[in-house]
Amino acid sequence: MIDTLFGKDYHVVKSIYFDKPGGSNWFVSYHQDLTISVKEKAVVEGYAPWTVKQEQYAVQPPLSILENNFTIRIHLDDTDENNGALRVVPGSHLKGIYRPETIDWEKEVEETCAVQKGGLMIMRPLLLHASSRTTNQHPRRVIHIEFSSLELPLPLHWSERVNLPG
Amino acid sequence: MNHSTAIAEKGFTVINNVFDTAAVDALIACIEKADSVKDTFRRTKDLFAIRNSSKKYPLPCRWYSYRHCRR
Repeated sequence: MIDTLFGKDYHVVKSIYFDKPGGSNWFVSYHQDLTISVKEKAVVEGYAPWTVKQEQYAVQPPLSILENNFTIRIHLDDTDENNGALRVVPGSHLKGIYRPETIDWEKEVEETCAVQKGGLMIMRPLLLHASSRTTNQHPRRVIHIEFSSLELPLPLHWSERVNLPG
Repeated sequence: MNHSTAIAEKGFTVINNVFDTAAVDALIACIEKADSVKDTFRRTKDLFAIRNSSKKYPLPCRWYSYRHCRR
């Protein structure tokens, strides 16, 4: 599927499992996924700002990296607007860094991405997306996997790199 | 609109019926076996998250998901 949609040479660069329980009040407002996980911190032009989460370095890379990457979200539960399905701004990935406070809702149209158990949502990291609180007491478990076909400029390295089986 | 066009123009697509119930159950079983005391885990009443999850699951679990993918 990845070969067909994106071509060869992609590898895993980040993976996160999210379990949003049925009674969850957790929500995330509109944002783009602007950071990548790297092994070590280093001064490289175009890579900033840096953050650390759970002893993991993260940095905002140049747009060319983010435009190349894609994310596959494997849904382990039926997901709709009542248990945190992603709400997205279609086409926002084509507008570079897009601050959510500048969204013009007179022009943009939100879409909710319902996904069945065992289904996938595939998205570009620059797509503006958000997730609401759960209102139906149903869990929402998702495996979020980010892919890239690019190598980082030395001395930077993807910290979670996993090559796909050939 | 096909999936490639949707990803290019809208930035996303949804593909249902990729993993069957057995594959989803196997993935959940793998995750539940993971050691949840590590520092890459975040557990609150509203969210449980595992960062760097591809390295937390045993290899057989990861390859299981590939083998049981319907596409």
